Amino acid sequence: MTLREKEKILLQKIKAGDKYAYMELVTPFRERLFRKAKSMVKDDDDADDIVQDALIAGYKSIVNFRAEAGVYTWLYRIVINKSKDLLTKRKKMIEKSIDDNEQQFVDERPGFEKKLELSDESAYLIKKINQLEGIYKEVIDLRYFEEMSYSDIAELLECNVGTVKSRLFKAKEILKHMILQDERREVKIGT
Amino acid sequence: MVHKSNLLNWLKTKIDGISREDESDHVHVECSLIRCISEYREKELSQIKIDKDFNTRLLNRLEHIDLEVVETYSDGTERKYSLPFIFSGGFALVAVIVSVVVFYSGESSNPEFGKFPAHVTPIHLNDNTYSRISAEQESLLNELKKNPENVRLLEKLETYYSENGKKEQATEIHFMLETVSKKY
Repeated sequence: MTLREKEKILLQKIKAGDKYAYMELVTPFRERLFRKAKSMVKDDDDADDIVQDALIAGYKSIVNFRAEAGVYTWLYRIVINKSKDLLTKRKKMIEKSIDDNEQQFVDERPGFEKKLELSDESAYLIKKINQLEGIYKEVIDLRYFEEMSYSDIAELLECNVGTVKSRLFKAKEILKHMILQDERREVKIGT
Repeated sequence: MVHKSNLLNWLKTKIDGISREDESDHVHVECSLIRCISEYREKELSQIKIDKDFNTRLLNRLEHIDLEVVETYSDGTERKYSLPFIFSGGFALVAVIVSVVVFYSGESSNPEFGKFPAHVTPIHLNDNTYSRISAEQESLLNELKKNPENVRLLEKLETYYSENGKKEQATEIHFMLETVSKKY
């Protein structure tokens, strides 16, 4: 049975009122959704709340879910919207505060920000990905980290599949050139 | 100084003048991306520690949500209605019907004649969080199934409601009848 088939069966149960089926459906997504929320709101507790609220919102509207996109993509979008709502609230609170002159900079770009112990090759490539422009970093994240299909990415980014493919192609081109430049530099230093 | 084994070995061959097709370059970058990001994902997700009460909290919140249930009819149409009615109001209606039928079915020799059967009366009328059929409700459905008169009466009510444009009520009764036929 494929994941999509399993999702469909669980969706039928949920639509008939089975809350445990919903738990079974969403539990495997918790960590990835948390990561996304955390990357946007930069706070563990807020990220936890956002994922909870997103899963509740998802449950409430599951009757209207038509399974064209995967469940994960759908929940991912809800998490993004909830995170944006919180960021807007925070921004308004800062603007209201007369004494607070410091503008909080919130980096909404998706990313590979966490410092992890990786192999040399991975650490190097992640460093290069982080140097990409936001739109390219975003498609790389959605395609290779989130493992979404082109059509799911297109739906999420509200663009067509062709745009997704061309952005990915461009992202890989840029990466290739960055890596080649580094290598040339190293060869020069070596000689 | 950068040391990136596979990826840079490939790049060295490029610089050394061994030309390759653009397509194969992309395949190589693609492979590196998959391999590296997969390693990154595995390590990052393993470090995320979701609160151990996360699922309990979520389930508690779900218990307070009235989800619209979708029932697909034989004509392919979908009808929606909310669970709390089905599991409170709906059962109340069935309890009344069951007791009325018991009352009029001439079981005068029964010492319980004219009374609600003990297992029928306590219905969770105010329990809006009820989403599963309890033992009491199950026995009520059982009671409903025992006497075909109960079912017939409910069917008549369903027809009456649907003919009078009260689709919600008709749908709810339909659901009760379907639950009986599926469950027993």
